[in-house]
Amino acid sequence: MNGLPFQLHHIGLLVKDINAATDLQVARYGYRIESAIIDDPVQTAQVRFLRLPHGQQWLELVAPMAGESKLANALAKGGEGLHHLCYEVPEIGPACEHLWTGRQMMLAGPTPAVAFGGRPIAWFMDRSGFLTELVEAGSGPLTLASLISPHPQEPQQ
Amino acid sequence: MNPLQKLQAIFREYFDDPALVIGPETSPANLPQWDSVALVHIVLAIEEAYDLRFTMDEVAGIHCVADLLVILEARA
Repeated sequence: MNGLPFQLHHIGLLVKDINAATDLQVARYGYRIESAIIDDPVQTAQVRFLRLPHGQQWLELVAPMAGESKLANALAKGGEGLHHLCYEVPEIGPACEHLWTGRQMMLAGPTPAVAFGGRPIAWFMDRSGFLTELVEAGSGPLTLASLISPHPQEPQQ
Repeated sequence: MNPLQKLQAIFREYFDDPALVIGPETSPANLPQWDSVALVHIVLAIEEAYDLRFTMDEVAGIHCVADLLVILEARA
């Protein structure tokens, strides 16, 4: 790779209840709601994105989908809290190769993600068990490019 | 020791369960302690035991013990 064009896209927080967690983040820190609650059957998760006014990254609230969910175990073991960091990259293939070469273990992907309008994501984990997500850059909602466009996204009510 | 027995030894050591019995159908669905962290450590243990390096696609395609056996057979 020419340089390391990883840009922090969002911080993922694992929560039990997205609506309750949203209310807490909005009241406590002044986050604004930037997406509806999105069902992601591939990740067996529900997610919602929040952002601070003028913030350059998002906060992603992640909760297990009802029924069987890969996240139910994580929630039962570790409780609510920091779940992953996500980096936006220009091209996901070379970024995956870079992490793989650095001995990060690919868990999944690259796979189109419903939360990002089909842009591909990939998941990695290091030996300590920390999760990293990659999302490919693009245009439209929930892209870093949208934050510097002359017509930024309007927060949803 | 055949590949399944060798994998079983690795699983038993990682999960600290000398009585653990695995088969090709063993997966996170029927071995709940097999989570993402376990996968990372099991893959690293297999790499060390077999002196090989999995590819990204191979690791991403591991969903059960049968997937591991297919990879090991292809590498034999």
